Amino acid sequence: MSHRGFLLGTAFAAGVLAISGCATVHGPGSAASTPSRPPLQAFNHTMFHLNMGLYDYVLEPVSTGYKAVTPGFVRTGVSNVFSNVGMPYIFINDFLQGRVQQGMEDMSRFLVNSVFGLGGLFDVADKLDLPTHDNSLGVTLGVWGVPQGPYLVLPFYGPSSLRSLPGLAMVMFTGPAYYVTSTPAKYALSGMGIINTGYVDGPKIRMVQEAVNPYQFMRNAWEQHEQYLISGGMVSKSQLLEGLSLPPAASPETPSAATESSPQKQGKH
Amino acid sequence: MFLKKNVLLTAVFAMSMAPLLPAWAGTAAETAPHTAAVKAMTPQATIDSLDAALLKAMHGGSKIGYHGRYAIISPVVRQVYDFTRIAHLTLGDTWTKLSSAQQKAFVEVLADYTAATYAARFNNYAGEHFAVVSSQNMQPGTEGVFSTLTMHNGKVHRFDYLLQQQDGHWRIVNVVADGVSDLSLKRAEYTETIKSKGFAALVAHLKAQIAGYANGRS
Repeated sequence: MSHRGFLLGTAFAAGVLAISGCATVHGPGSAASTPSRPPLQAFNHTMFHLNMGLYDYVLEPVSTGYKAVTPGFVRTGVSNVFSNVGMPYIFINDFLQGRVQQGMEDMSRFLVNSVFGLGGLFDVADKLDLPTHDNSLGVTLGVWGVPQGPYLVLPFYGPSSLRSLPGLAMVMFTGPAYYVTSTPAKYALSGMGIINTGYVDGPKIRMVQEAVNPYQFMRNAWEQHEQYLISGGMVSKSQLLEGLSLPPAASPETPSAATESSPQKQGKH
Repeated sequence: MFLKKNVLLTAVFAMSMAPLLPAWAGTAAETAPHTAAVKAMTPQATIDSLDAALLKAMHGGSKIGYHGRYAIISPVVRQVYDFTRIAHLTLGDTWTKLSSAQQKAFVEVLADYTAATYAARFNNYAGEHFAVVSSQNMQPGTEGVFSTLTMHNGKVHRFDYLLQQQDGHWRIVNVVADGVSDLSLKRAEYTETIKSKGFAALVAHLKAQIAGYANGRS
């Protein structure tokens, strides 16, 4: 996992926590002054649109230029390197969750690509049946039973939750940029990471933008997938059949519109 | 930057595939029966027929273009998905309040949107491999087909299909891709859109998206 944007994400995390705190201290007595959207949801919507705007007006044009001036093999190599430097964050969390086999696979992938793939430039592990996995500290905390807490959209970062915030720091400490002492090199690394993100993630961001309701789409998908990872890639029979029951009768306000908290989303199931 | 986490990327990928992703096929799907011959298919054969169509479209890629891929995929999608059931499950109360003409129009748009999305996104073949892992009776009249899609870089995605029997045919009513339910996504999006903007706006958005795919804007 790359470290792109983590500095900005960390910087904003404190602000998000403060806002989250403000949202939770509002008691019933403050209802009269509460706008139609709860503060945290308003913040999330604002950040979501900010992020989408940043993609449209900064990341996407930069990505287009990047593709115009670099050959495909260069872009692939850069993408491989950033993917490889993110692997320690992945396999450390594998082990923290007690998923030893997955951790060994991810660690092997990191070592193979670092040594034989020239620092991750070439994805040699692909040929050795060492697939990539997704993981994060938020998932680890979920496995340990920590509830998700409020859903958050972080500026420059995207969907997250209170439970996932410590992962921002862990990404930083497990990535190379933190250990680079040269300031210009640090900026270059972060800059290249952002450009690579636009290149790699562009199609997926556009899929979000094409959704009927991009905010709902992103939130719902993120929360469901987070639960899937916490459960170790298992989908229970009841989860599968849940989709077949008709939705409840329309209420004046849907739960998602009423709050950004997801207390029902616990760690283990 | 935002969306940086692989967790999210997979979520986005999964949901993008959910409406379309038939997964499993691989070499098995290459030999799957064509739609003309698929009467009274088993649940797995239903998935195989969809996979076969998708692989054919993917192999056609840019040579046959969007319209060529759409021509391959659309008839199969309309056969293997139960769009009337999906529309009902998605819209819930709103569905029962629609006129029969509106219901029919929405089902048609939903089918077209699904086929168009497949045709737009399954636009090349890079060695992806599909495989049905197992199938299981979930409850009377409901079958689950569990499969994986292995990408060219070795990453494995899981796709769980739910099919229900209607008039002797097994048809897909939901796809859960890497834990992300397509029905759940649609339900959350569509109901809120109807609530805030109205049913007509939802249909207009879907039609605009279909036109965007056809014109290569997406």
